Amino acid sequence: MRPYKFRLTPLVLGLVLFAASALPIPAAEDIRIIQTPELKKWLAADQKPILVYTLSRVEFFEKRIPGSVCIPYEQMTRSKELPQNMDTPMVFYCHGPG
Amino acid sequence: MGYRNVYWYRDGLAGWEKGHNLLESLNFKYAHRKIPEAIKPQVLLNKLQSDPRWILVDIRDDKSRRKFGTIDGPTEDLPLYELHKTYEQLPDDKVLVFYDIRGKQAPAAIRFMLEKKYYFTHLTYLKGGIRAWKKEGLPVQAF
Repeated sequence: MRPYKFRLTPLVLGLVLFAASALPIPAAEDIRIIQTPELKKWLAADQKPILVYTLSRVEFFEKRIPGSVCIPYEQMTRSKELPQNMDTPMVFYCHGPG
Repeated sequence: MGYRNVYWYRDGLAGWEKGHNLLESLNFKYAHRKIPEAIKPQVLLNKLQSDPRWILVDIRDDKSRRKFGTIDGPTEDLPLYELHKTYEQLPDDKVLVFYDIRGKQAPAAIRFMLEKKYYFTHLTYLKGGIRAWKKEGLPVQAF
């Protein structure tokens, strides 16, 4: 008989895939991570992405990357600041590590 | 939500600042000033039990309240993401103890309240947030 953990693996994998397909947000692999030099270059270009700060306005008042808009994640789904065009590039950020 | 071109700048403000890139700020008088000292969990518990002037301000969202529970005591529930609109509900003749999950966001709330002319001596925040409170074995109630 196979060890217990190997018998469970397909079931767990199936459940994870099912859960991921049911989520309204993209799976982690669909979100591309952008690094500082790349972002800096992009923000200096003509066709900039929308840069979204996802914490509170109180924190946004204090410190932010120039050109950002503030859309707290709690209000994301009802925000009017999000673009109509679903292909508009958007970069999301918060405090970062630390 | 259906967006197809989404990126995550995972390094966030910390990474941006580390690379010596420019940050923008509204010129708040207190943005870089000293704030009142944090209060330790056990000291706070004693204050809440002995002094009716002390009230809690829970700046977390409902998700976090459900996950970690809440501290028993007179409380104003004002999530940080709405504080800029709701802060006037807070009395200025009480000692306001802001608390969050780890004690990381409450300082921004305090600086905001100082900017809005609340008294330095009437503001503080829970050191280490609700996590530290629970780590010390202090009671929480279900939200």
